[in-house]
Amino acid sequence: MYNPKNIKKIIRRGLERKLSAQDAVILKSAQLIYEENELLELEMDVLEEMVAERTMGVSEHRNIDTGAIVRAERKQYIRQLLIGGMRVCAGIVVVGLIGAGVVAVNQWWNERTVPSAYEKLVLAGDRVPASEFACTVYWGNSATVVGKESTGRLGRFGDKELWRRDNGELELVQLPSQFAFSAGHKPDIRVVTDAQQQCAVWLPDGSLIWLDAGSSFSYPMKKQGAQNMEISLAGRALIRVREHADPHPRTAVLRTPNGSLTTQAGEFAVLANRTDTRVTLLDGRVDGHFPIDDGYRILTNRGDQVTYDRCCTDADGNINMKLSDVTRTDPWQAVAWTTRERNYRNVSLREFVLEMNRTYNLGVKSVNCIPEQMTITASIHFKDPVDKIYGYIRKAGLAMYESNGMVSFCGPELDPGRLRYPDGVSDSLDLMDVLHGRDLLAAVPR
Amino acid sequence: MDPYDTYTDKQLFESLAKTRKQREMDRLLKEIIRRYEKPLATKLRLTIPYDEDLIGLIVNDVFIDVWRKRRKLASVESPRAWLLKVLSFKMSDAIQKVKGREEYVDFTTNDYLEIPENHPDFDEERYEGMVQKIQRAVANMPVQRRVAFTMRVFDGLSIAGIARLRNLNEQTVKNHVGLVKQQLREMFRKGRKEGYK
Repeated sequence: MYNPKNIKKIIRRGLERKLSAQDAVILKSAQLIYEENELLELEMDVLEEMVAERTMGVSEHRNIDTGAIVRAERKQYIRQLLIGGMRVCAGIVVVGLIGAGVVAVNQWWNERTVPSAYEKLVLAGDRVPASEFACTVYWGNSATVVGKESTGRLGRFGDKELWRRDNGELELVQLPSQFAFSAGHKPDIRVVTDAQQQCAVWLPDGSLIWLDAGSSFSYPMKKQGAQNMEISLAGRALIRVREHADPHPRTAVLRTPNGSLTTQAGEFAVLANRTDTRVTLLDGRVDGHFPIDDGYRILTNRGDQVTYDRCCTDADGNINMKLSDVTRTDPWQAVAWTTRERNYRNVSLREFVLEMNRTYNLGVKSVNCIPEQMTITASIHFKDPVDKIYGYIRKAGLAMYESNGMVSFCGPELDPGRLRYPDGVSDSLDLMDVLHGRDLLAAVPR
Repeated sequence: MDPYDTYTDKQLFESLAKTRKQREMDRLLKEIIRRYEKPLATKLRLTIPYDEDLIGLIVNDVFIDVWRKRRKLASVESPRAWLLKVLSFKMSDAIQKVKGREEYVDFTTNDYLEIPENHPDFDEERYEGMVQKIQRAVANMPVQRRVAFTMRVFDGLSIAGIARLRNLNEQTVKNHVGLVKQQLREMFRKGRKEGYK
């Protein structure tokens, strides 16, 4: 039953598709006592026998050419080599892309997840929500109004695009170099906030500028090869400049109406008015340069503050300039304007009016008429109407006079065109005598 | 007359593996092709009688494989069995490529030569009976052989696995299994002569 001759017969029947059920059983059991190679050898014997018998009509001679085999093998080898090479290249590219993606995502994530000094200082729930941000962006002759409801891509300014992120913050995105200007005038991008507006703008290098109401900053179109970023600021802002991983550190220069501030990595609040500049450091380091002798200050610690004041002109016509030393203050006060609710307890009324003037654009002519010793206690929500501010000022005991949309605290203005004789006084007298009481003096017996 | 005519298959494979002379390699390959082209083509014609082009391609592929792996051919124990195995792989590859075509479907389902138990009328009871007969025959053999054979054939362990488990040399295990199979074949042949079936 298991002798090779019998097995061969079964194999032959199998090859001819005539295997019976009994053959299948024998063949299956033969696999237990024959090695696989032995059975294959038997099969080859059968095939050779069949060839010899020419039972399959294989009289034709195919004569495979060895040269063709060698050439075909060479071709296959080269093809496999090329495919393998391409796969390796594709793999390297994919790994590279994944790596770059991971690095980019990691960097992006770090930028957003590592809380800054400001974020540690003011809780997210206490801040003015970014969804309320609004401002106007000027570039050349164009003006892009960013409202609370603006979303997505808002405009293109040369090789930069303005986007509004889902969280409400604005972002200036640098486009590829083919969008860059080749020559000609390159106007700055200017972001301006009106009364009761705030706006946070992420610059292409990852820096953040958060503008308070009634403020503006100019961002220059980048000059080719420029290492430093120069921004001009007027008003109040919170600035965050991230350190770059470049081998040559870049410096951000912030120009104000009175001096300039430089930093490579730092977070600070700036109040930059026409006559004074105040800087409060939250993190990092800021160098201040002011137009005064010995006008260089370095802020390195949290809460460090320096104030430059160009206040008055003396009798000789000289402008008095004052630069404070670096003092330590509560940094929270410097960023209180970024919060939803601002509480003022016994603060100088002058300061309060100035701040409200910036926020609500009250049109205050001057605060010099407000007595220095006057204070105010108030609680202002960022959505409060201007009437509430007027109410607080009046409640503090200060008289306000409105005229032509401007607010004065110095009493009513004299308008010669509108002077009239007081009731009961005859118009036969000289009007100026009446107003100055000279007619009354004349009536007094000497 | 070509001197390679007198070479055994094993000698042909070993020579092809060793030689570095192109002319010699060509002649050795030519001899292998001469010997096996027809048997391999015959097997293919029995399987796929309707596609002469495909048969030609598959046979070509087998010899391309021989040429590509020529440096390793010295380790092939049974060249004829190896060629049939390569043919089987190449056939599977070719059928995979054209598996959408209906005429190739029965190739995989009707190949009872490789998998006899797939036969529609396969008699399990009869097969079990034959297995028991083999087991009874093995039971009278020396313990070492019997254990090695049982582990290899009935438990499906590898030679290396058995060697590790039994703490034996691999060659020893191979010898044990081979001897049992040889003895079984002898026994069944004698048994038939003696009316033992």
